[in-house]
Amino acid sequence: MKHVLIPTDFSIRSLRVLHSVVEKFGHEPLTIVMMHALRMPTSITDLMMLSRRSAHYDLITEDYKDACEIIRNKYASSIHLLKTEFLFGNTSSVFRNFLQYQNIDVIACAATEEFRLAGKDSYNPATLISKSKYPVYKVPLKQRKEKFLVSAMSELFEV
Amino acid sequence: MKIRYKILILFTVLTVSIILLMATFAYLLTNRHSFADFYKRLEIRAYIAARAAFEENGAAYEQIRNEHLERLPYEQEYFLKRDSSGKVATDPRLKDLPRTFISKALTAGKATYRHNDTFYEGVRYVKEQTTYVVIVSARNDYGSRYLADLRKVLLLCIVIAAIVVVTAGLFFSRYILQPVRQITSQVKNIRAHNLHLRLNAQNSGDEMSELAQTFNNMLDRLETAFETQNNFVSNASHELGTPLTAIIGEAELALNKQRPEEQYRQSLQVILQEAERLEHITKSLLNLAQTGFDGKRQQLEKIRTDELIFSVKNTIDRINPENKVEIDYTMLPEDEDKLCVLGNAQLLQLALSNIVQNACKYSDNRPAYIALAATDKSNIIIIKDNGIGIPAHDLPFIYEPFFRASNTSSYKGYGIGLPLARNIIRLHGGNMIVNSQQDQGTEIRITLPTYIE
Repeated sequence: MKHVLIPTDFSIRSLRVLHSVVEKFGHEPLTIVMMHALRMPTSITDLMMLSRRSAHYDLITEDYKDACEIIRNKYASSIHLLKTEFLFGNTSSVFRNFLQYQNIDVIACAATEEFRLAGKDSYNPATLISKSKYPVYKVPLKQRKEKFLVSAMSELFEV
Repeated sequence: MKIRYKILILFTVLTVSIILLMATFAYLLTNRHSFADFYKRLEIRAYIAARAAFEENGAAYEQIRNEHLERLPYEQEYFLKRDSSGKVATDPRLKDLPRTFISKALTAGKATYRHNDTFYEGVRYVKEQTTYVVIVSARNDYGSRYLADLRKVLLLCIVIAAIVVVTAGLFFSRYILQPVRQITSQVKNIRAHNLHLRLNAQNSGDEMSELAQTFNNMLDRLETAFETQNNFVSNASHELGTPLTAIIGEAELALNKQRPEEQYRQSLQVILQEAERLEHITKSLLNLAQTGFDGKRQQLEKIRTDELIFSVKNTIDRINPENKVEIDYTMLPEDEDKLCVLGNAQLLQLALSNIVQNACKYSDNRPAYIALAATDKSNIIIIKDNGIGIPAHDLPFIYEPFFRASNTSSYKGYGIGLPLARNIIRLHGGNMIVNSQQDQGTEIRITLPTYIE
């Protein structure tokens, strides 16, 4: 069983890393954690209600959920679990705790950065990942084409 | 008679009869109670009168009677003595009394009788071996006044209640039938030329929204059947035209002048080829037109979506051999059961081939893709082309029958394919999303619910 962490911005494009991950590590069952990083709120009331907060779940789009299910169905025999988790905070120790809690073995991310801020508290965890001293598997992806379509789902099909 | 009035009458009759029943019951109970009470009063008077008449200290009883017992209206006392032979004396004023009254008073100890407004109470009184029957009679004026009042009040109440019930019933029946009237007026507006209109059904789950939903489903089926016919005609006229032109041209060319045999052979070869193509096209069009709407029950069966797409590709290949449609199987799930949908294969094939045909037609046979994927609950089919696209201002109208986008004038078509496809998808409980950008291309995403056993 291998636990792989993939940072996501809830774009379908971020899921494309999964193809290479399954190709490289798919010989054993995989638990894949899609991680979205959010800054800690600054106001006291927000901090107090942090554990009960559910607004960040609105960032997960229906397309993203569908795409996750499609990929899980495609690699049903390799992917044991595909889940989406939120990381709150932007310090290395928080991230280390998160990695240990999720039992992560390897981090996979796209070789070329194309991060889109999903919400106003989102941030790009790239620096945290490079500082974490965990093995990082850089996945080369084709350059994003200038695209006309709004529907994100078709991005899934451009491997 | 209108249902509204039926409801009104039923409601009124029911409510008024319940009120009437309750009032009658209340009146009868009160009536009986007031009688019983009055007889009790007469009985006490009879005993006291007897004591006053026959006891030694009768004067005291007389005094109590005068001081504390108010005289009842028309109060009369009779003392009837039974002689030794057992015969009871009679009084001419008691001629209204039946004989059984006296004997009952003698045997049971007391008896009651009512004649019109006059009430009689008889009691047996034994004094020194002599038996008397003491009878007191009086009129129950107070009771009858009270009962008359009660009758008046009850009658008045019933009349008022009836008026209120009728008025309430008017509103009630209006309110109950309001949705029916709405449905009627909406259905009245739907004709053959605007079959795409639907009733607005609230999702309240009551019988009325169910009715509206049923109407909408019926309209879906009707519209699909209607469009299928139109689609066949338009496809036939369009697709059959090309090979026919080729045949006619070739034949005319051959007949133009005397030619060597080799050229005739060649012309006939071309004609044969085109005729065969014509046959192909007719067959596949007929195939598409047989949609299960031919009077038979619509058959729902388990369909594999990958097979469906493959047969669509085959149909397109036969109708339009120059197409560059590719099927993208990269996202297929490992579990084949996730690729099953419940539906009518011919209808779905008709819908998909219409969309794919459009993708070929409006992109002048540039490459197009059909992709298939499965989530846990639905099958997703994406059809993408690099054609002329749909202008943004035309997008809201693409599902209206016979509507054609403003940039399609150089292509033949009748604006039936897309509405038909949408209706078929809707009949299968799925949905269809069109994304498009003018001069760039169109992407159509179809979602069909997965059949789960």
